[in-house]
Amino acid sequence: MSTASTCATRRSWWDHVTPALKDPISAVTQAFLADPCPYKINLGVGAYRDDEGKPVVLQCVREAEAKIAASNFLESTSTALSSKLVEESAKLVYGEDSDVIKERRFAGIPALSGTGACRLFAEFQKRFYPESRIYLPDPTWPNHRNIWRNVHVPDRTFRYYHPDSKSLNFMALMDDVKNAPDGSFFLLHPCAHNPTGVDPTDEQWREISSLFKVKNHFPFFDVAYQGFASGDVERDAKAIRIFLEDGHSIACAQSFAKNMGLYGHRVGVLSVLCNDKIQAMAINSQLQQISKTMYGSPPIHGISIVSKILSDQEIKAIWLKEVKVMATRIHRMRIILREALERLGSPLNWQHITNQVGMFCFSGLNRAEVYLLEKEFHIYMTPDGRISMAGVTTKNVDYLANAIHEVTACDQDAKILHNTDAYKINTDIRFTSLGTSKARARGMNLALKPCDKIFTVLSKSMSPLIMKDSANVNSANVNNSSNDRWNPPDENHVKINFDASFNVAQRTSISGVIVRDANGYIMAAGSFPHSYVPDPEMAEARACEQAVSLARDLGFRRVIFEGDALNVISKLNNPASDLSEISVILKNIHDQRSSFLSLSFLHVKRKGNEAVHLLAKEGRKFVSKRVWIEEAPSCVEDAVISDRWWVDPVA
Amino acid sequence: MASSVLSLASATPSASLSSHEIEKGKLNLGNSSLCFKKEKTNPFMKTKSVGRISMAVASNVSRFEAITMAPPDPILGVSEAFKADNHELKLNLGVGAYRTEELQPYVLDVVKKADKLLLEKGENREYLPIEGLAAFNKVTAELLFGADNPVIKQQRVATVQGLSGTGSLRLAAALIERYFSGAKVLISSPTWGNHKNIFNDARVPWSEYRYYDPKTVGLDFEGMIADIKAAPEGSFILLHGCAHNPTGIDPTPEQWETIADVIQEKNHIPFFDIAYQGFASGSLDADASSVRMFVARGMEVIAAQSYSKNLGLYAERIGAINVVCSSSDAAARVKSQLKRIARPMYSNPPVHGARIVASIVGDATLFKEWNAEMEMMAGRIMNVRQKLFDSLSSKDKSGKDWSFVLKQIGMFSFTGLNKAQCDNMTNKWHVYMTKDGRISLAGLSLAKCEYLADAIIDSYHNFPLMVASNKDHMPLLFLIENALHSLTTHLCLATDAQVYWLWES
Repeated sequence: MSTASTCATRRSWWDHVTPALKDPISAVTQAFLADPCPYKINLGVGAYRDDEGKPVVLQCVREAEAKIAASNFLESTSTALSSKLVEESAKLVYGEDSDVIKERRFAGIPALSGTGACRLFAEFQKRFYPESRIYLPDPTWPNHRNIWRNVHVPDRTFRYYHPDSKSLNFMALMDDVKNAPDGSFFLLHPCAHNPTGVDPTDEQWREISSLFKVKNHFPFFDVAYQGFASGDVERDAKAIRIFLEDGHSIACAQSFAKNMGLYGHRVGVLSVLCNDKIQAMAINSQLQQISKTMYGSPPIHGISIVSKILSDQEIKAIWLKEVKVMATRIHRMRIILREALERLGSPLNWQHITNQVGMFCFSGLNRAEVYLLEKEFHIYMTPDGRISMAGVTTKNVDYLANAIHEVTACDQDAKILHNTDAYKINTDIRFTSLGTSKARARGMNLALKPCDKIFTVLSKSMSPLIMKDSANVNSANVNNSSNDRWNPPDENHVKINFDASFNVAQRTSISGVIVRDANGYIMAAGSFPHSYVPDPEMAEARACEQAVSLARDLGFRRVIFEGDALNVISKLNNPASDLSEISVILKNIHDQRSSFLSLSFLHVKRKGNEAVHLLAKEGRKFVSKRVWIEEAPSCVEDAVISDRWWVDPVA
Repeated sequence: MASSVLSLASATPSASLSSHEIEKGKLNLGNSSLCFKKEKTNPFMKTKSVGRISMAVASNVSRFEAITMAPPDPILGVSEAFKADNHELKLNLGVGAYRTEELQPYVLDVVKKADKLLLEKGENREYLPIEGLAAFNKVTAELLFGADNPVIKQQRVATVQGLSGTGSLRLAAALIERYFSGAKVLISSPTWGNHKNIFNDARVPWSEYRYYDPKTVGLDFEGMIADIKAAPEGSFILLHGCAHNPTGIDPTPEQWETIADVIQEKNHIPFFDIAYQGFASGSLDADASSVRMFVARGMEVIAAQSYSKNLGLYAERIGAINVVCSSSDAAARVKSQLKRIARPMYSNPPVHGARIVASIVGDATLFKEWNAEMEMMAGRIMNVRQKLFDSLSSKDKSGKDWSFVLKQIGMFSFTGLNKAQCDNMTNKWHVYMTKDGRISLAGLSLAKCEYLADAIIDSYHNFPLMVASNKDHMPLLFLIENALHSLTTHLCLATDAQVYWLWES
């Protein structure tokens, strides 16, 4: 048969499938698990830990499980259990004696925890308001954006958090709510905002609610932490009750992952308020139809646990007590962490640690600092500086405070960055701080008796790290000359510098590219806008990709690419398979290698990349891409002239 | 407050319109044309007014006013009708769940044991990774392909835990939508009702290939091959690995070989839905032989598994999607993309069912017990099948060939009864079944076989429409039902009366 020939023409059906971007939170867990250091701390994943750092199975869950044992395999019980779960959950969120409950004016179905509930609502929204958008707070849980994008509902953001004050940017929030088109869908975190831990006050909620009324917006609440913020489930539902009083039509995605510790059981509920019972039936049937093609029905085990806990008064009382215990422990850790930092004499303001609520603390640590915490102190958190307070214990809090103090206070640059631009990477910091790390380790050794082992481990494991890094940079730099200024290529090559400017709010970036010859003369330049850029590293990778494409398009065959993003450069020079977010881009770059006779990737410090840095900034003015041949915008002129340092500036 | 004054004028018409529509909606919930229009427009997005008048209107009108009832699931509808019937001889042959000889739901002993072990262990309830429980993923792939299959050793299988069959199929459908946009999925006619919904909701185009031949109540093999051949190169061919749902008709091993030849020739991708492994013949290996044959040919294969039936874990929602790739590298990439699809759908899969399966398959003693129980369940169904055939043959004197009952396999039997005859089954004999003529033999006991045989013979011979050859009517009926289905909402609520009317005209 023709088997052989078809196999030959197409190697695999899946060749064009590229590795998916890693989920940032799962990536943190993976890195943590791979770290052999016994003192490592995982502050990434938002799951509760007790003071021993151990996962907890709540007493109420054990009691409920003992009562339901083995009965839940009988399919006949599942419908009854589901409706019980929905009813009890609605009581929890809307209030037992609210009119909504009394008149049964809500539709609801069990969902696969918070994600599943959000997804159901997103599908539902797409089905009945196909042209609508969703407004998400900036920042928010990163998966929110994916959820609505995957059902093809465009997402917009509204401002929420103020990085300077590390608190709510209420004015901007109200502005954005006002400026959104009437009748928009908004996602709100009613308590314990993820990732910032910053919640509006009751008074602010009232104002938000009345503005929503005027604008006829639809509030969709993602209730992932009810009870976790204050320790009181009723108190944490206050925002929703305020909207309820104002007569809004609302919907809630509830999750029992955190407040019952049922993470892996995937229990949640989506409820939508309706006018009457008839409408509730219609909406129920639609929601069921959506879930029917996604997964059928939700898993029964978790459903039976939660409906047992919520409907059995004794077990419910145990649960409420346990929620209180968890919330209190976290709050205590906030106080201890803040006090420890203050005791260490940190020059920074750490009030926000105790002002924020819930499981997370949006620390304000920038990417470079998070990187240092990971590499030097084996402390893992998401790159946006979100600390899961549940991972902090009385045993590790001093170590953590010391580490944070070290990475934030030791370096003047870092401090400035810390206060101004939380998102920017400055790779130079790494070198200054690594340079002092040995001395620092010694100092801390004195300060922290119980942890001395780690510093022997640290100083051993760290020195090769430093050497490896600098070795990389050296071997990459063929000229072996100082890499803090621009150096011309040899006669046979052109040098192409690239850089990116990144707009945090819009997630867009501009790639700047400048091509120069051995005399330092400009042969070409270009500025290219990109959208949907998640972070600065991706922006740099895109800039590099753009530089390679431009070189290829213009027909340069012997090329040196140079940029100030050490991360991107060393990943390009290290062919080991990389599964980070930028791996797809790196692969694209590698795929173009065959277009060149000679190419290399060098790292240069920021000063040596000044010209193209200015171009990337200038590029913000242009809507579309621009390419200049043998010239460049006037803004880079001075920098290009001073890059020709070997020529007497007067001449 | 200039804006609120201005809004008075603009808001008035919209206010009157809205209340008018509320009235209509309440009076006439079944009126589809009005509601269809409303679904497509968003009255609130269009309202330009900002002031208090529109606000007052808003509080009276739900944002979801336009939403109409979704059509009820046909299978669940059968169960509800069954519950409402008080006749002592009533029989529910609708739902595809196993029942004991006493017609009671059955929890496998081995599942009870595993569950008890889990309860004693009291393991934590932390999130699983997005791809699911590692121990589960390992055993599920081994169960399907065989532990010593080279594709497993070479790590060429991307396995991701899914929410039973449905959830696993949906993941694969989303992968197809994302990476093979425009590619068609071919599904058998007839097939499990949810297949079409799954691909519709994942925006994957599908069409049908011929499968069932009403004349022989058997496989329309030539039609099937012709349709697979005619499909555009590079289509996905959805195949039931064993115990075809709803017909219970499987290709023979030789026919499977021919199917594989054609698929290979046309560069299609075989996409297996294997929901009954071990349940059809009582042997896990025998039931996986179709999938394994395709894999042994070096083909790239997609396979969705479910543990609903063979372990009775219906409501635990446990299954898996497997993509066999030509290299371990491709498998790693495919797996990463499957995870990316799952993350915004439900983040990570449920832990309980996965732990049960992993502890049963991973433990030699429990695994043996499971096999024995499965053999027992499959054996009971085969006994019932035999008894039903015997009863039909001895009671029916017309000389009709009832052997198709024996040839079919698995939980279901496709009786070949048309809709009118099915209605007679329900109305006269209190036998509840889906209207495509499918009966679930799992819901039948030896004791009730004779009664059922009487009902079938009566419906078959005495229902007037049976005079005409059912060859002409079956496809027409399917056409009508499909058309109704695609019109969603209201038409389906109209059901019987309309179907009859269309049919007779």
